[in-house]
Formats: sequence, structure tokens, C-alpha cells
Amino acid sequence: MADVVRTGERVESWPAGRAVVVAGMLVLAGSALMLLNLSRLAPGGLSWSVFLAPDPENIDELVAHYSVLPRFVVALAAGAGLGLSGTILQQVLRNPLAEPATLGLFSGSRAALVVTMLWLPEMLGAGIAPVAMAGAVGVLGFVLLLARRHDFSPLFVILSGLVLSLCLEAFSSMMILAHFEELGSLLVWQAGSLEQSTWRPATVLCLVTLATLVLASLLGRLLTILGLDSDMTRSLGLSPGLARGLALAVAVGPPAFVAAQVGIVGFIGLAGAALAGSLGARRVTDRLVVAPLLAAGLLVVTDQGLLALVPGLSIPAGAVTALLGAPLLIWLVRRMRTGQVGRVDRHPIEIRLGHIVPAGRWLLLVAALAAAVIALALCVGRIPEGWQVATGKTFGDLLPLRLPRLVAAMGAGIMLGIAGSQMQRLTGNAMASPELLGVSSGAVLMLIPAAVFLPALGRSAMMAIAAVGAFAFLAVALRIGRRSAYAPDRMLLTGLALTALAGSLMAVAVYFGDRRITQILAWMSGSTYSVRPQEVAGIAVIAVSGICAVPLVGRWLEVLPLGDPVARAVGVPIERARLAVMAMAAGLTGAATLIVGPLSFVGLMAPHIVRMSGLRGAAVQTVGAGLLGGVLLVFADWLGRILAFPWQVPAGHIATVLGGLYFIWLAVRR
Amino acid sequence: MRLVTLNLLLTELVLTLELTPQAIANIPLYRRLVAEPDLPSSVRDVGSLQEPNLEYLRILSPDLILAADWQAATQANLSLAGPVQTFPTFPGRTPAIEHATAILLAIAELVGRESLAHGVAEACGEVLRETRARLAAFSLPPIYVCRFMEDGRHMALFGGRGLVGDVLFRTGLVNAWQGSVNGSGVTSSPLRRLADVPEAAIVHFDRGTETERAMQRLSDNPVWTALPAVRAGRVVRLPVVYPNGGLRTAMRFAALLGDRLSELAPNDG
Repeated sequence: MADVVRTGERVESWPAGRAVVVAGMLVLAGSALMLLNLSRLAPGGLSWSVFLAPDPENIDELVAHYSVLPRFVVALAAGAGLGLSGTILQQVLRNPLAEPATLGLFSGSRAALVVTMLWLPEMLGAGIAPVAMAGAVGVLGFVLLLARRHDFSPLFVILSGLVLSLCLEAFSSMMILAHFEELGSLLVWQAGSLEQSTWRPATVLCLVTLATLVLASLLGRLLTILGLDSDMTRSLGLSPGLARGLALAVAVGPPAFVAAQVGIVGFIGLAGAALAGSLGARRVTDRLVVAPLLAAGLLVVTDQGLLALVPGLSIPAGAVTALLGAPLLIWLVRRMRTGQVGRVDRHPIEIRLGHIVPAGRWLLLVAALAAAVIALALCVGRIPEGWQVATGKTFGDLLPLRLPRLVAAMGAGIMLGIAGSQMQRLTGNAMASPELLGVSSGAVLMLIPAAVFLPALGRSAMMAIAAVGAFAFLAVALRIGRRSAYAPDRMLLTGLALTALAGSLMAVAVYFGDRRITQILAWMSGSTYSVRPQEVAGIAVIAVSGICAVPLVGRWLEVLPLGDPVARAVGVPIERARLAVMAMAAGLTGAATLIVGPLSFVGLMAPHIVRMSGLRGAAVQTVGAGLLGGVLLVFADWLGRILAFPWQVPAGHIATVLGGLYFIWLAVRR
Repeated sequence: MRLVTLNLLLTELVLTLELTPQAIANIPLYRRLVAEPDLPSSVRDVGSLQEPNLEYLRILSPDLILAADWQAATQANLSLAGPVQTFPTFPGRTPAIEHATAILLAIAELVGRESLAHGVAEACGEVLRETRARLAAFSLPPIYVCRFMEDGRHMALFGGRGLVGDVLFRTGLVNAWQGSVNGSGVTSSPLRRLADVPEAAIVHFDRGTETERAMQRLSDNPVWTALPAVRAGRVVRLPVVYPNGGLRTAMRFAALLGDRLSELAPNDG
């Protein structure tokens, strides 16, 4: 059932032809821009010698030869490598949202660099590259080690990659918040500037990309089969696990080397692969050629275009590939036919671990946990002299400080848990998290310029700006989705593009080193710190209404993941159902974002943890995810308050690490 | 008076007024980036700049909390811990020294040390004028002020009228970087920008081993080794100064520039 039968399609001699033409035009445009940039370097004109043997006395020729030219080659090689990697990953993991970052490669490099820069600087003696490489390889090794027990099941690889990636990101963000000024080199690296000063990175990346291309073409047939069901692979006498492990190992070469030689260049791998698909390249063998070309073209146009447009500003391309790629992707998604986006596993959101826990017992356990963490959060704290259990007057004194945090953590956890579960059921995609609706990204996209360009804002003003952004972007996403009856795959790609756009803007703001951005970084890390006493009642009302509304859409949540035909057959009005569920998820996500910031982890992982812990049934799982999210955030908030007293760690970071450890424990247990 | 400061610049200015705050945010960061004036060991740490610990602040019950305006946005609850006074710590378009002086005077007024503040402002002006006169004796080229990154390809480049740029301006030096900078007068830039003004001299900040490694990377960089400034030895390494600092930082930086650039001048012919 994996392949969708399409009828009435125009038969073309080579369906990928159009994509090749587009890619070729992009590369040509990039080359033209590069020549323009080269000619601007020396108004008097450069001699042809810059290509091979620059005049060592002429600084312009040296800059042309050692900076401009290798930069062009790096863009092509890195883009192609990432496009290739994205294609293989999407095929092997059978998910159109998969990309190198899914496996946590970039997060691994980043965390490794944070650790070495802060505590083991002597290890940087040989440069950033070996450390970044080690981080990427280490994370991949860990993901594969975890996934080996599950026969490298695509869903499991994705989940472990995402969990690990989120945990490492939480760690790195915590460190960046505390050591912003000391990590200047890291902030530059993570922005992914393609600036060059020798030919070494260009040579390395060309070799790696070529090697990956050769390996991928050897794997060509295997990749086609991996896109199908495991049974099919087995029938051909192949161990699907081994085959997937092999393909994954091939796919991680380019991103690991890009991270080491250049920095983080996100989104391009995904964009290349997605564009290839949407431009008509469907067969794996076609996409393996077309996606790298498109990705290379996109990266080189972005990089050389920025160089030509804003020569003085030197905006890093890695961070802003989304500026060009995201709108392009959104535009293409709008024009796509159904089923064209990519194949997703049927029932992909379930990992069955065998046992089932009755809902009553499960809820009782969570209620007991909730009571315990609430008591902890309100009564137990630290003072300079040691621990303190607050009773009587002290309790009353501290309540105005502790109650808003407690309610915010519980409320936001509930909202995000419910929204996450709804999103995953709506889309049938395990990687769907509430912020993929574009709501949180919209808020971030509005807040960054406001923080940089406007005078300092109060919390109410910030919330208002965030709300406007969230609402505007939701409107855009819904407007785009309406044409396709809110087809989930398109909504996800659109949301992902918007998220990438917000991420780009953030990386650029951080690259230029504005300290005020740390305030937004703190908000984005999921912190209850700035919640005010007057917000408590509102938060409680929204959270409780969220829980009460779940049973109203319970049946739809049960049926929607089974696919359109099934849903239609049992009489669910698909368009209305999707819109209702999406609107509810968006409302809850938006509210949570305004209160504690965009918090991926709870929305993404709480539903999985609930399922893995043995709870069954759509409505029960959804409410369960909400309650678990709330308990997790309250506990995380309390831990964050006492762990490093008087320093505080944002609840979102702690929740991510706790949830990650729990996920790993669940995964290893069987 | 029990004072708490939540921002590095405000901490520097309070210490400049010879007051010892009861507590500040992020003591390790102050010691590492600002260092002078020296922070007494009695001062307590209340946590990060973004989220100073409210429960702890409540126990300390300060008479006045000084914070930056950009911090106030997410710290609305600060007032639960004590009276708060905020200051716009980013100079924006105002020249940094003028801006810092205004904040110094405002704090001085709050704590009743106006005459001391005026004295410091005078002294700062004096140091800047002295340095200017001293450097005027040489014909110095334009100056790039930067800090090299680990990767040997990028740098933080200082310009505009942020603290670093403003000290350059007031000591009569020409900043070779005339491009745009952020609110604290700094931007991230590729190394090859240094080739734009070939006759310039390069002043860069020393962050210890980090800078050692960056310099090692640079020695493999063909563009760097071909720069006229590098070939002619017009590269000066200075102890790091805090680019968002106050008057004491400005005075220290000006004195350093005066000492090191006058050493450089004779070589320049």
C-alpha cells in the first residue's frame, strides 16, 4: 500500500527534465553572480591568472583566488552533498521532513564545540573541524546504536535522532545563554558562513560529495526498495535493518563534513529533496541527480546573491538559505497535486512495545505524580544557607512568585501536549510537532525585529507582537492549506518552511552579536520566569478548556490517522475535521507560545512517551499527553529553580533533557 | 544603601562610583569581560542576566535594583523583589562615552554621589585628550580594531560610535571600518575586509589561548599573510576590553592605545 497509484498523469519522456532545467538555471544564475562579485573586487579588472596562479603581491588577486572562487566551489559542493544526503534520508526514513538535522548531526557538532570552547580549549588545537566532526559522528553512532535494537526502523531512527538533537540543542542553548560573549566563535560557526581563505575546505567537500554520489548510485536499487515496505526488502533476501543502516551511514558523510569545514547549513538538504519531488522527479534514481543539483543551485544563488546585494554586511549563507528556499517551497507546495509531496508510512506514529495499561490506572498514576510535583513546586526551594520547606508565612510570601510559574508550566505543558498529539494524529507523521503549524515561528519572526529595532519592550507589548505574528502566520498557513482541503503533508511542509525562516532570522541576529537577542533566546528556551501573577487565571481557563474540548474531536482524532479513504468510508467530513483539529491545535500552541515561548519538546515527545508507556485510544492518549506534558514541565521548572541556585535553568531545557532520558530508557528497556 | 545591579555596564558604573553592590548578576562574566574596577569578594551572585533569581533577591531585599531596559521586558516580576530603576544601556546612535556618562550621572544622582561622577567624567575626558595629543605627534594610518575568531576566517570588527569606535574617534584616530555595526558598535565580518584599506594598521584584542589558536590559523591564510599591515608588522595585540563598558573601560582602552600605537609609529616610517 506504500505507493499511490496515479492516473491521468501526462507521460513525459523524462519527468525529471523540468527539474534539471530549473537546477541548471539556478547554477547559471549563481555563476553569473559570482562573476559579478569577482569583477567588483578590482574595478581595474582582474587577470585570468586569478584562477590558477594569483600574483602573490596583488591583494585583490589573492582575495579572488583564495576567497571568492573557493567560496563558489564550497557552495556548490556543500549544496550538492546536502541535497544528496537529504534525498537518501527521506527515502530511507520514508519521511518528507527528514534531513541531516533530523539525525542530530548538527546538534552534535554544536554541542561538541560548546564543550571544547568552554572547558577543553586545548582540544581545539587542530581547529574546529575535528571537534565538529567528532560531535556529528558521536551522535550518529549513538542514534544507530539505539536504533539497532529496533532493526533501524525508520520511525525509531527519526525519534531517537530528534530526541537526541533536541537534548543537545537544549544543552547548547543553555550554555550560549550563560556564555554569550565567550562563544563568539561558535555563533559565527553556527551561522554557516561560506567565507573561505584557502582551497582546503573546497577540496575536501568536493571529494566527499563525489564519494557520496558514487556510493549512492551503487545503492540506487537498494534505495528504491527501502522506500517500500520492509516485507518487500526481506523478500529480496536483504536484511532491511542492515540495508537501512548502510544507507544512513552513506547519507551522513556530506553533512558531517559540511559542519566540520563550513558550519551549520540547515534546510538546504530538505529543500533540495522536496523541490526535486515537487518539480516532477519521483524515481529515486532521478532524485539522486536532481536534488543535489537543485540544492547546489539554491545555496550558490543565496550565497553569491547576498554577496552581490549587501556586500558590506557579509550575511552568512548557511543561516539564510531558508530566505530563498522557504518561499520557493511554499509556492511549490501550493501548486502540488495531492500525494505528490512524499510518501509517509501508514500508521507511522505507533511504536508498540507490547503492553497496554488501562486508562484509569494510568490517569491515577499521573494524578498522583501531579500532586507530588505541585507540592514540590510550591513548598520546596533553596536559600543561600541550604534547603527550605516553606510553610505558614514564608509560604504566603513566596506564593506570588511560585504560583504563576507553577500554573504557567502546568498550563503550557497541557496545551502543548494536547496540540502535539493532535498534530501527530492529524498528519499521521511522527515528526509533527505543534510549532510546525507556523504559529510559534510567526511569533518569533515578529519578535526578533521588534527586539532589535524598537526601544525596549514590556512583557505586554512583547505578547501583543507575538500574538500578531502568530495569528498572521496561521492565517497564511490556512490560506495556503485551503486549496488542498488542508492536506496534512502540505501543511507540514509549509509550517516547516516558516519554521526554517524564523530560524534563519534568529541565526542572523545572533551572528551579528546583539546582546538583546539573548532575551528572546531565553524566551525561546521555554521559560516560566516572566509569567506575571495576573496571567494565572487566563492560563488555567485555556488549559482546562483544552482538556474539555478533546472528547469533542475524539472520534476524528481516532479516524484521521488511518488516511482519507478510511475516514471518508466511516463518514468523517474530512475538510471540516481537519480544520477543526488544526484550529484547536493552533489555538493551544499559540497560547502556550505567548506564555512560555515556543517549546518543541513537550509537544513532540509527550504523545510518543504516552503511547510508549502503554496508553491506548485517541482521546485518552491526547488528554494523557497533555497531563504528562504539564507534570513534566512543572517538575522541570522546579528542578531548574533549585539545580544551580541562585542560577536558574529554563524549564524547557530541563524538560527536554528529562524527556530525552526517559525516551532512551524506554527504548533500551525492552 | 543596598544596591543590586543586573547588567555589566551598570555594575561597572556603580563600582566606578566607589559603591559596593550587595549583589550583581553573573559575577564570573563580569570578572572575565570587564574586570576593572575590581569586584569586591563580598558581592553575591544572583544568577544570569536574563533570569536573576527572584526568590534570592527577595531575601536580600535590596533598596534599589538597577537593570537594563532590554532586561525589563521579560523581568516584569522584578518589582516583586524591590524597587527597580532601568537604564537604556545600548548607546544606539548616541556616542558611547557620552551615553555612559549620562547613565553614570543618573546613577550618581540616585545615590547622592554627583561630585564623584563629575570627577570621573572629567578624568575620562582628560585621558582621552592626553592620548589624542600624544598620538597626534605621529602620522598614524587608519586603524582596524577587531577580535579574531577560532576559525581563522572571521572576526568581530568594531566601528561606529560604540565604546571602541568612540574612543578611537576621540583620540583622533581614523577607524578603517566605516561600515555598519550593531547596537554595541560591533559586527561579524569575514577576514578579507581587512584588505579594503591596505595602508591600515590592525589592532586586535587578546583573549588568551583563543586568540593564540586564531593567530595560528591565520598564519595558514594566504590573504592574511599578504596583507600590507601584516607584512610591515603593523599588527598590535591589546588586552581585551569590554565593548559595552563604561568610563573606566574607555580610559583603560585609551591608555592602552596611546602606549602601544606610539610604539608602532616609528616602524611605520
